[in-house]
Amino acid sequence: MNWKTCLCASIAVLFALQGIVLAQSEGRSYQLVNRLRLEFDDNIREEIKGEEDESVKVIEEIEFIGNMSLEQTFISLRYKPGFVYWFDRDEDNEDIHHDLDFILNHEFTPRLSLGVKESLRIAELPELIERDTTIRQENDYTYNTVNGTLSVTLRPETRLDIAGRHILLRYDEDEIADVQDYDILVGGLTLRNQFVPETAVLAELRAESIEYENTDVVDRGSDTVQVGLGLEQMFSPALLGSARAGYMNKDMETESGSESSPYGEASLTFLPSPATRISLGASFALMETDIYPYSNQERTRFFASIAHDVTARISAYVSTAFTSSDYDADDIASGAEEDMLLLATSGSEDIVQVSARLTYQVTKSNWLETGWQYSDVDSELRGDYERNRIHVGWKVQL
Amino acid sequence: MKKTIAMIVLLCVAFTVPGVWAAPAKEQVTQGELAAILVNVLGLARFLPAAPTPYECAEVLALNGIQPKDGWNVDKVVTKADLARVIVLAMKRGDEVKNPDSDKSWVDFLASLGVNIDSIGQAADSLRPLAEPVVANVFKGGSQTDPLKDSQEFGEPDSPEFGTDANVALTYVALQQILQEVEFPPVVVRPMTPN
Repeated sequence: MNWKTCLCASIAVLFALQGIVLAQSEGRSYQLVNRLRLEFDDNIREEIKGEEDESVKVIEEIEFIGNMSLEQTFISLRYKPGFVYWFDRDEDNEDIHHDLDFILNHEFTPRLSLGVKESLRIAELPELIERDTTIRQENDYTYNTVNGTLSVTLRPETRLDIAGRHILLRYDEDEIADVQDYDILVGGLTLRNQFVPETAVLAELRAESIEYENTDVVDRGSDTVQVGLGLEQMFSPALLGSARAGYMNKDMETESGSESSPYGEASLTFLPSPATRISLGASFALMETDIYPYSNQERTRFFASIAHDVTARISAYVSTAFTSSDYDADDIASGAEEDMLLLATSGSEDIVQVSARLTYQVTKSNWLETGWQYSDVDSELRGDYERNRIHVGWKVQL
Repeated sequence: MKKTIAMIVLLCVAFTVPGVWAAPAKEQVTQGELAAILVNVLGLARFLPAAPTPYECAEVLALNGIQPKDGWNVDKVVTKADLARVIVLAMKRGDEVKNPDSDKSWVDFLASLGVNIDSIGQAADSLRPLAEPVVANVFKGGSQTDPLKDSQEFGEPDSPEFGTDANVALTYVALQQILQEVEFPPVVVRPMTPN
């Protein structure tokens, strides 16, 4: 099913369900938000130092959210097309993106419920031309993920989640599609027990299968199993925390064959005052990677965010993340060295990301905003780059 | 692997579903159930997994400044005062309540707006999706280790030109540079980039 069919089908479903809702006189809610930004980007193609191109661009996004509540069912559809006009990009001045989310929650009985979540992303990306050679043609892509979870309340304090997920990534450009297109299938069981109102413990089992579309020469696919425990703790009204940890085994078509490792993540949410929210955390796991021809990375990530309402109308947000990934030569997919004439090398990559944003609510439904985003990639396996983006914008809730 | 995953899911469904169809209905609503309703109507569900836990719902609401007077207690039965407070906060009108320490002020404020909170359904009908969901979840998404959950590096409202592009571009630039530096034997296996 292509994206146009998906989109039309989703909209048709929404309108059909709208009729049911109206007939039953139940609650319904719509929202339309328009966001217009003027942004300066100092490295539009994320090139290495000295080869950056900068541009100003206009980003126009209109977001539609429709919610429908029936007695046992909740349905939500969100569609956000985005139009980007670049003032200084020679090869192509316009990009159009599509962003679609569909959510369905249905309660069969008070003890049995189903949750379905679908996200579709369609993006246009610019081609890249260097020294009259096209390095990367237009690599538009389609990304789709659908997640379904059946929740069974076994006892008032105990819940079993049976979940499945499918993720699809498809690039339009054949050269890129050959090495990056994949399908991921995930199955999972979670047993959650609320021991006391403040504390819940989870036992988790996950199985993940990654299959790349083109495996003629190099197969970066893998099968992963995770077994572990989780904890959700409300320490106080102002401090919440969660963690998950366990052991994972990843089977790959590589020299090493398989790799086992502990995994874990933890996060804290701190609310020192009604106007201030802080969250921070860290994670470690074996992950898939888009660096060809590796089948695996060991990724460690730290993050911190703060949101603060300076006044009732002015809000400030600052977020930062540091990601460190280690790549082992043994995790290069079999056949890649012969195919690419490359020596097997190990290496690492560090990425720093910062985002800051300030909003001013002019009226009940109008906001002015300004923001800055920064990325710094320091890699032993591919080109380093820095990128700054600064924007001013206007958002209106219709 | 695919078949194994599908079989496990199907078997679990088959064994668990029959035992719960006849379960008795609950008569009272807990704060955890209220939080689940609110994340849906406020448009926050897209930041969470398909079936979020009560904790996850409470956390994303708290990050958006929406919680009862004493914080979220997922097992506690919802009172009218709790409901009034979270509805007003979800409407982003908490600053208009004259005496925030008084439960009655929150109830009276809603009454002055003509909002009926005799039932949670009626109260939720007065809400619209948040126009400005807090960005604090953005980086947490990128730190997920659970393959069942979304793991985009940046989310709204600061999404760049959609997350997966940067690394792909870099890979191909780097490969091009490597290939330019290597002295190829007469037979090159295949070009990595189109000319």
